[in-house]
Amino acid sequence: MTKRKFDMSARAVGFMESADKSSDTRWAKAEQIVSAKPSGLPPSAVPVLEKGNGLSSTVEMLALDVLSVEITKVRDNPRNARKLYDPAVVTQRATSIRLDGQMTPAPACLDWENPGSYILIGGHYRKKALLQNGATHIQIKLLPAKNNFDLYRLSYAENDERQSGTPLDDALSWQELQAAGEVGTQDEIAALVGKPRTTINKTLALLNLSPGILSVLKETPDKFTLTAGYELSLMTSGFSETELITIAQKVAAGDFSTRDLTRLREARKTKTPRKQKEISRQHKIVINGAHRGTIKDWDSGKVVMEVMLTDPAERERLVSELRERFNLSADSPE
Amino acid sequence: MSETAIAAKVICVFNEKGGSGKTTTSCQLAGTLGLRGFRVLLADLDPQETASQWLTENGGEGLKAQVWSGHRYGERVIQQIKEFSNKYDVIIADCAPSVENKSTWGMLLVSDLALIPTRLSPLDMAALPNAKRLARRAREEMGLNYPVRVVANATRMHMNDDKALMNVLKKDKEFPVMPCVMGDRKAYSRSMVMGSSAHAVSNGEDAVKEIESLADETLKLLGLSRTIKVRK
Repeated sequence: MTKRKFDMSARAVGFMESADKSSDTRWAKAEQIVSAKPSGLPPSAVPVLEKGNGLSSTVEMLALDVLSVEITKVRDNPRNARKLYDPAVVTQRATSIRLDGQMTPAPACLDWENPGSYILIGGHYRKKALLQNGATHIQIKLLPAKNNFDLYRLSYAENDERQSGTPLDDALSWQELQAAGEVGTQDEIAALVGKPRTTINKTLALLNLSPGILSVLKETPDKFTLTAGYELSLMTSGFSETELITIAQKVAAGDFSTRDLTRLREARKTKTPRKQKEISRQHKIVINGAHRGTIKDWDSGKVVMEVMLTDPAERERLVSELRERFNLSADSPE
Repeated sequence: MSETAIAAKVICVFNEKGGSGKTTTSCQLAGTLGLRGFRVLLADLDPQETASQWLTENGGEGLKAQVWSGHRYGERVIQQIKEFSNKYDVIIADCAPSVENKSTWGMLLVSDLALIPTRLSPLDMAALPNAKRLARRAREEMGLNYPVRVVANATRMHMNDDKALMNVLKKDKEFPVMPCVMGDRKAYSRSMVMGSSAHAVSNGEDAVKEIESLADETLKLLGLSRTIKVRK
């Protein structure tokens, strides 16, 4: 590592200049501002909602951007980044909400297709739990989404922050985005979600698994890391579907790790025997002490002879002997 | 110099987007300036206390900067920073991932430079307008025009997408992007494990080049001389 020494005189000049410009007033002013305006951003950062501003009378404004609305007026996110919901978790949430109420409002936006209604951006577990409890209202926090692309973007961001999305959720939602024409190539998805293209490719490869294996993944998506899912997709060539379903079930049960999958796949690889290189035996042809050619023969039966006979009579004699050896007629030189 | 004058240069590193590179930028910059001989305070204002934990868990000796965990102070962070301002040359605030956080607002009011780290992806860049609005507001309230720069983080500049998104950032003249970027490098995460800057990581030369450039650019923006003698 290069050791560097700071030039003290240059630093002193910098700080003297700084001290000239600054004074007590800057701290005092900053404290005054913070006291008068504790938040830097005005509330207009979120949609401004007031009663009578087109909102139904059944809507209760709980905070500036938090509302309690009829659950029937809130439709699910058509571009939800999360596709798989565990019924057991819904029941668990439903119990929690029955005991403590809905503690966190679900992110939502105004429904541009149905004025007076809303689109849920995230928090579908909360909505399912509330419906299971027979609740009539849901608390939502409004975010400024204006189109389907925003709906996906915000939903993905919410899942990403909570690290709650699974690779299969990603694969299904990206497939949906591609089908809707909202993104085209895998590179575009990579740019959208900020993940390497190889990750996008491996994630989408999960959808190439057979329906039987996919159904195991859908039952317990959180048990399958991207690497485990990708290993399964690589195993499709060497394993039967029944075998793969059993293996996937073992992964879901926690009996197989990703490393186990790699070992299984490696072990199943049919090793093609390496072709043995044939080695010939060589016999030098020496005439009058000079090297004139070679005869080579291999175990496979191949024999090759190369010889230089400058005397035409000698050459004709050799050819004639060979013709006779192989029963070749004199008028068939080809 | 008045006893309570702002002696230290204050750098506010903020962005509401989690994972944008605030802590990486703050810690690497703090470590680099520390190695250059500056007395550096790294103010960890993120409730997750990533920077503090990073150093505490690794002995706290690898980084040439003092770390202070101050996220509980809210808007009162100004008074605390004021106390520190005469003891340090540079104070770097690693802010919470929220533009509504009171300490972020407070730090922006007393800053000499604000850095907004971002990854080069549309999702991450969607958070930039809010960050810029907050910085603009702080400058207006204080009647100051201190520099605010975007720092591209975890970049993969060999990829066309990153080049295209970098060009988008370059178009903003009010809040320009730093010409130097921090690449998607293992040296940064490895140095976290070691509780140091990338300087301590073997094979971390490329990362070191990047953060040294970032340090050069930062000092230039702060009006401090970059004159450095290299000891052979």
